[in-house]
Amino acid sequence: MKKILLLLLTLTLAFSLVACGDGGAKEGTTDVTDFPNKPVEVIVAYKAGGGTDVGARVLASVAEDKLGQPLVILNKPGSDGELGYTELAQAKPDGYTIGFINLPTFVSLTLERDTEYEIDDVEPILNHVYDSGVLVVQSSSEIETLEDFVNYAKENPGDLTISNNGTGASNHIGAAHFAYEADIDVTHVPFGGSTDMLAALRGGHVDATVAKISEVASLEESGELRILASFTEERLENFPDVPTMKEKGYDILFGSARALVAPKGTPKEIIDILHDAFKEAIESDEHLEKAANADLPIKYMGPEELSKYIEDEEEYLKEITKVIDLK
Amino acid sequence: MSDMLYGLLNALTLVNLFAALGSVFVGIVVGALPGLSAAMGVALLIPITFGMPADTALIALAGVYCGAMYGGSISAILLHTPGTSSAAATAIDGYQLTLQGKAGKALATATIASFVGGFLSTIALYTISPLLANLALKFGPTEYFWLSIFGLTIIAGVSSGSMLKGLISGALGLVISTIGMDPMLGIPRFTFGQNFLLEGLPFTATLIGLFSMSQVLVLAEKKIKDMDKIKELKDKIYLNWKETKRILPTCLRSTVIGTVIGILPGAGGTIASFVGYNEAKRFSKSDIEFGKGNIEGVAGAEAANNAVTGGSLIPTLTLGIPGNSVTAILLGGLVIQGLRPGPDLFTIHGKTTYTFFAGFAIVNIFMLILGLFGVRFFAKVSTIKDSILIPIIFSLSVIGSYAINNRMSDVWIMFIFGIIGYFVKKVDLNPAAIVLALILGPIGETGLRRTLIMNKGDLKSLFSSTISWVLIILSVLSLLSPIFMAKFEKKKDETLA
Repeated sequence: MKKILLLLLTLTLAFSLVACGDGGAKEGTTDVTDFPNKPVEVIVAYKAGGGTDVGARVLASVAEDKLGQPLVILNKPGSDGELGYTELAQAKPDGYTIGFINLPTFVSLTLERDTEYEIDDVEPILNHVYDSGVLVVQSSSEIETLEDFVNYAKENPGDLTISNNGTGASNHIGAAHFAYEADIDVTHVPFGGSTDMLAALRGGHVDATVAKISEVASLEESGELRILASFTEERLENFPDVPTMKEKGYDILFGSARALVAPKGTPKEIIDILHDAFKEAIESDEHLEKAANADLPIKYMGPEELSKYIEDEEEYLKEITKVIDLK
Repeated sequence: MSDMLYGLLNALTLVNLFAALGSVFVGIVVGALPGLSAAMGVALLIPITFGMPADTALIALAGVYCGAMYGGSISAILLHTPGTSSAAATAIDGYQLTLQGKAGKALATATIASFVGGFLSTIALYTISPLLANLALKFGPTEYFWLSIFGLTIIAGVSSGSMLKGLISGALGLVISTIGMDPMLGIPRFTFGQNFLLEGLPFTATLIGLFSMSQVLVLAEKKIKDMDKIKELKDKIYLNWKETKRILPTCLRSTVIGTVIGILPGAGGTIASFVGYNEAKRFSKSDIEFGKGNIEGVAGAEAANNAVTGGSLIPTLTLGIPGNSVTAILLGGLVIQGLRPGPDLFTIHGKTTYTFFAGFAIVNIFMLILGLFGVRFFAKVSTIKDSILIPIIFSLSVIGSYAINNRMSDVWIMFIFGIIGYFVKKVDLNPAAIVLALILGPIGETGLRRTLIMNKGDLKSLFSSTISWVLIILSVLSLLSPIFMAKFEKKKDETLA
């Protein structure tokens, strides 16, 4: 009897602990004049060590000095980022909780399922990284050009395999959109993430992949992979020989952005203080050097431009998911 | 060559030696504490390393990794609570030795085996890393499917005692592994509308629940009747020459197994230690039964899981493909310090890379020294009374499961699996088999479905590569081995009688 009692007590302790853990709501002062007067929490909706996390930490390490308060990175991974985004959207809008969002994922999640956050639950601060999409094959592949790719796919419908980083994930959307525009039938093979997706290409298990330039730049330079085309407006700065999809007649722009946002309702003055500090950090030599080391393609966008970009992404994804089948 | 020499000398500077010693110490403590995993230790250390120079930071990360891999064995042996999941196989024979009053022998074996595994895997890191990295890329979806099948067949061997219960445990693990988003179609399965389950069960929280929290419940129940039985390290931390010679072949075999398994993405210390244990059991000439306190069992598991450290770093460094959860976290730390995985690793970043390699070897030497001379300190955790231990394990389990993703839902999952784990132990099911199936389930499922997508549903494609055939043959051998073993033992009994 005694041991059952002890067991029950242990369990009671467990549950009361959980209850306390949830109950501790955040208390903070919203005084605009002396912002920031304590550390600022930065929510990263992905794992420590992932691409988003590395980018966030690189920027935060420089921005701390500009802001005058420590930036505390909080990794809140789960459900492709939805858990972190939700927490960010629901945080107290006092400027002491901000976070990074990934585009198009932040937008596409809301279209794919019933998310607990809405796109306009956040207030844009600025954009940090823009990583352009590219179509790559192994350099030993018989497919030398984008034309070869399209011709082969037309002659052998469904034979070409393209790996992506998950069903409905960014690279899948890019690849499916290209297949739609080029009117070809290819087989999309979903993998657990970008590294697995690339490993499948490098091991010769799939024929091609749609990736981000930062993920494949060093592999192209070492001669292992060949970039067939970029999903950009202009040709890529470091790869002037690679044609754009657009100039080959396929009007597709595709890439992923990582931006800093605050919960909706954060006072304009605070957004401005954060924006100015982070902008100064982004443009500093220290940051640019660290970003180059980590292969981060930096692209600053102010709040208005970023807001417009998010709207455009939503528009684009709504349109494109009507015509392409993401399955 | 000059980079290699520079690396060695650089790793031997006072600051770096201190970083190695300190980080191994922290690593062993983290590993020895049930509920704190190597992954967590590294994750907690990464923010601290930001301020350090690159080489020192990298060595510190390596130290925590290796230390934690080894430290897990201490609590596995003394408490039957593997500090890390990869020490679960160590607990099988290690704890039996403790019950026989030979805890010192078990710890010495674990220390020496860990050192052999870790140190020799450094040589692989140095010499054959480019060669072995190619092997990992050859593993496509089909090969992963067969790899997981091979892994699942090991369950039959892992479960000493009742094979039926082992298989039930395995099936339970497979069922649990289907919770979450369908990996191919992105449709939620068995999530009951809970969004936090979309990515599947939080792995480490589940593990902490199954291994640590369930232990809290078991201890709480036992405490009253076991009050007077305090486990103490009575014998010396020492192996005589005969015993060292006995475990050496096992150590070497497990080193190879661990290094190779470490290189395979997705397959980490847990699988390696079970395969190492299993092979030790298969090859053993000893008359002490496995599962009843055989030092070869401890050596087989420990050498393998520490060899994983070097092996798993090979694909992490050369290809940026982490071999397991620890190196996945480690990769982030490496990247921040400017060590970019890829072809530049041995050219542009050669100096940093070789400093890291040399540091890795030094870390293993410190691990041996700390292990042999400091284990009494690390073992103190086992002499702590249950009344103190229970709340400690309890709090660490809660903090640990929360800290990985900073999510309260993970804590709930941990408690749920603590209760499940308690009943699993009550009815004698095998928690290690559940974990093995939980890891291998998704690998096998996605491997099979990817193969079929890529080949328009053609099942013949599953049998097209040499590696596939090797894995198929290994699986068949592994499946048949209990039958052969049973026959063999029967024969032996008959001749004896």
